Amino acid sequence: MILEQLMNGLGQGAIYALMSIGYALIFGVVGLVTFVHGDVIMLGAFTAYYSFVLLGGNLLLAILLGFAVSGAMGFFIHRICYNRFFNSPRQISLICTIGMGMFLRNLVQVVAGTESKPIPNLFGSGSVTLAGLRITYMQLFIFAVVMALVLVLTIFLNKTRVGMSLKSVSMDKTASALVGIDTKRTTTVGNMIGCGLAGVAGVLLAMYYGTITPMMGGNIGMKAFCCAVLGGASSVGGAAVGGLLIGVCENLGIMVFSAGMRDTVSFLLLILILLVKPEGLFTRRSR
Amino acid sequence: MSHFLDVQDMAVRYGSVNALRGISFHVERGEIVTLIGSNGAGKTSSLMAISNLIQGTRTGRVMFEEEDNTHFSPSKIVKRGISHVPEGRHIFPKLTVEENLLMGTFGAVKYDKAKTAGLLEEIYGMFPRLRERRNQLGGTLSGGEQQMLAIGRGLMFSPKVLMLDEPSLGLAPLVVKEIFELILDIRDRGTTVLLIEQNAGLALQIADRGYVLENGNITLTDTGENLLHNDQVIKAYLGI
Repeated sequence: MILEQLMNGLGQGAIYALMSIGYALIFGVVGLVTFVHGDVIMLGAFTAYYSFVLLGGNLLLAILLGFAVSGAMGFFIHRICYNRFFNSPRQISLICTIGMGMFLRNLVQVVAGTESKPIPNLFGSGSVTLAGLRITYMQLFIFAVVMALVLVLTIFLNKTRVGMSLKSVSMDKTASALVGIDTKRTTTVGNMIGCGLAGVAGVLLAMYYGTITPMMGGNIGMKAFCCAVLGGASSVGGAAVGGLLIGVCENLGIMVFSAGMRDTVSFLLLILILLVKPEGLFTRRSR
Repeated sequence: MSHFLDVQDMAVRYGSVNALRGISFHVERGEIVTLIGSNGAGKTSSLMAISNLIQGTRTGRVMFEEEDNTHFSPSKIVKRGISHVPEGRHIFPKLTVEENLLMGTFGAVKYDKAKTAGLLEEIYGMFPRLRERRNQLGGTLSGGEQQMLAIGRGLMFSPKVLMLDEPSLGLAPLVVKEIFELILDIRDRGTTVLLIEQNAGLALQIADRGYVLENGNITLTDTGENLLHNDQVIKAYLGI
């Protein structure tokens, strides 16, 4: 029972990891928390819904579309919320992301309607049993997608020019500009990739929950924030571990309390961590 | 005749504060030119203005090799061959020494592996200490080593001009001496140097020419040698 809950936790945590990695990327290049992330995830979820309804049950296509649509939204978010406010007081961009989130939520409500939508379960209830541990096909699929994306992202960040530029901009904007990196373009790319990953997380969440609503973003966005802060806000690896940790804690927590306490567990965890180690679990203060 | 790097009538304001009040200075190819002055005289603002990194309002012109650079983006200015080693070094703390150096080749032309390796060798030749620490994280270096790394990174794309902002800041006298010898070496290898220093005595000893900045104005200009013996400079900056 505990092992099964642990497995559920890891499955959900993998999705959390994906969305908080996106969050950490954006926080890294922009240097500011964003409040539109949850709604970008929601956008990915609705993209999956329409992809399944209009184009048939092609998983790969849904994921690609989720990445593309949310990534494109990342471009607009950067244009609207950050680009022209680089030299303005920081709260302006922040408030702008809140407004952008409201806009997206309402836009989707207008286009898709306010009622929740069912997502077909493409995996049935099939599962494999490994050493007595039951893993559903859905979980296997989620693990595979998240691990593949993390692998690609790691290679991208460490081996390509654009990826290295992203890393350096999140470390030090001035220094990056002074070695000739186009910081504006890099920030745009960072936003697009971060939002694209959020979109894929949305697709996976939609499949995992089996039902989506235009209002799902609020809570989910806060969770992405939790996971990212847990891991140290701008650390991609830290965010991934933070996501897994919150997923596992939630699912073990609802064994002790009740299913309704799911969010309470994760936010309680956030408050505790912030009290004890405010710089995040995996960052050491550097001089 | 036009100058190699020519700053014309540069004024910088941060809100209601005037950091530079319309200064003009120039640097010729192969020179070491220094801007000296006390804290808040506008030294850092002059370099930031050349790199187009001012977070305020800026008027005036920057000409480089007879081309108007004033409105180029910071990254474009780097591509033109102007390297700026900022005050406080700004090295990447979570990258290793070697990765930091490699970042230096990012903005400029795309080098192939052999060319990059050659440049690395050249930098390691100038700064043997960096070679010893090549796999150490930038954030764990001492102040002097960080300054060397910042200069090394600034040289990685073979810039035409190297602008140094207070390279002696917070360093022990022996390390400062080492760094100033390196600056002479860099010039002798063909890179023009624009040096900003609070340590006027040292800067004037190695500089061909110098400008004295006071409250955002240039009050004096002469050869380094003459400024070193100028009564006004001695009284105000050399404290003898």
